[in-house]
Amino acid sequence: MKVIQVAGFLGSGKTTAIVALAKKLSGDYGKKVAVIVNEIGDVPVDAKVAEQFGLKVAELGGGCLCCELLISLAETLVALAREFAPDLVLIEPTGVALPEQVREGVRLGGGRVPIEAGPVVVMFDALDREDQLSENSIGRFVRRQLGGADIVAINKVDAVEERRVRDCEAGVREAAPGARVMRVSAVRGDGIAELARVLVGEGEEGEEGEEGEGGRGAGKG
Amino acid sequence: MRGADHANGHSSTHPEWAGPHGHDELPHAAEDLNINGYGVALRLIHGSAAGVSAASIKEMAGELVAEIAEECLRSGARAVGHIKSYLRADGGYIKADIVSVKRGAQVSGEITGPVRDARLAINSILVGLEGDEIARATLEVAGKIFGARGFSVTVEKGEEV
Repeated sequence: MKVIQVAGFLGSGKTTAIVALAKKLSGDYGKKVAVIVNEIGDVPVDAKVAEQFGLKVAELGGGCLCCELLISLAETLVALAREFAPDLVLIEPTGVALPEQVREGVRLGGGRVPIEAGPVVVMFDALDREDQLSENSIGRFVRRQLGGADIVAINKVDAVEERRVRDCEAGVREAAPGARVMRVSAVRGDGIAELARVLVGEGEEGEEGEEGEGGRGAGKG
Repeated sequence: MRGADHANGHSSTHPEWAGPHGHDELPHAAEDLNINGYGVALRLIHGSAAGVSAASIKEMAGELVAEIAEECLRSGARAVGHIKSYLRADGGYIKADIVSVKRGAQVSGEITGPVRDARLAINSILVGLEGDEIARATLEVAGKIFGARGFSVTVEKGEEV
């Protein structure tokens, strides 16, 4: 069971990307996919959206996955492995979680069932470059999220000019120098096939515009 | 609006953090962001048997998240984090969300036929506004928008987060 974290700040497009990725991974690669969604609060919206598309969804509400729910995450991974046996688990943390802290829950789960820690994808909102890479508290936080990424998916590239996408790429590469940087439009599906291919471990060699080989966390844990 | 329940819930501060990581780092680098939220599940029942058209419901869904955002900003929020809603009725679903007033609401999903009875989940996450203010804005706006179109609005589950 391979576990892939799809993190990112509030509104960066995590749920949309996860739905698109899950469809691609199950449809094109025949993977059995489950999704773990952690939202701030006990009234889920993202989980309902994911369920709407027929995905197997486990909800973790009422706290943040990176601290209060760390043990719950580990237990959920164990339960999914035993009861559903997915090939892939996509984890959507809250927008205020840090990737390295969620990795800890994955590691804890891996002590009880066989888990392959896949890459951490961090979604970056191309429409919000100024705030997300600013020097204010949001910018500092987003840079920490980016610093935990193996892959940064610059999202909503369909809605901005090429120059702006390049600005995003430059800022992201500075914040996440070891990460592979990709362009996607989750809502349109652009770039999702390529991202899915990377996540299942195909086409790792010689990709144009890519940095790194699966990143700092891939395969570890 | 009936049955509002502002229970205690989650905020992004953790003063007593001990942590599983074996070091002193705070659990959230987000701690200084002052991000709070409010989640609520509502039941909407229209006063007439005919209900409201699917097109109107879709319009209301977008209006809902946009007006919650504006009300929270008027109340002192520093920024919109992410306000999202999911409305489910017999004929389908509507999802609406907003991350910036300037960019406006995004609405997707479809409902076939008029809506008389629906369930609506709202999750409002704001930067720089306390949870009770977010709860007030969320409930007031939902009550105003759906109440004005003839729906009774009942809180089924609500938590300040």
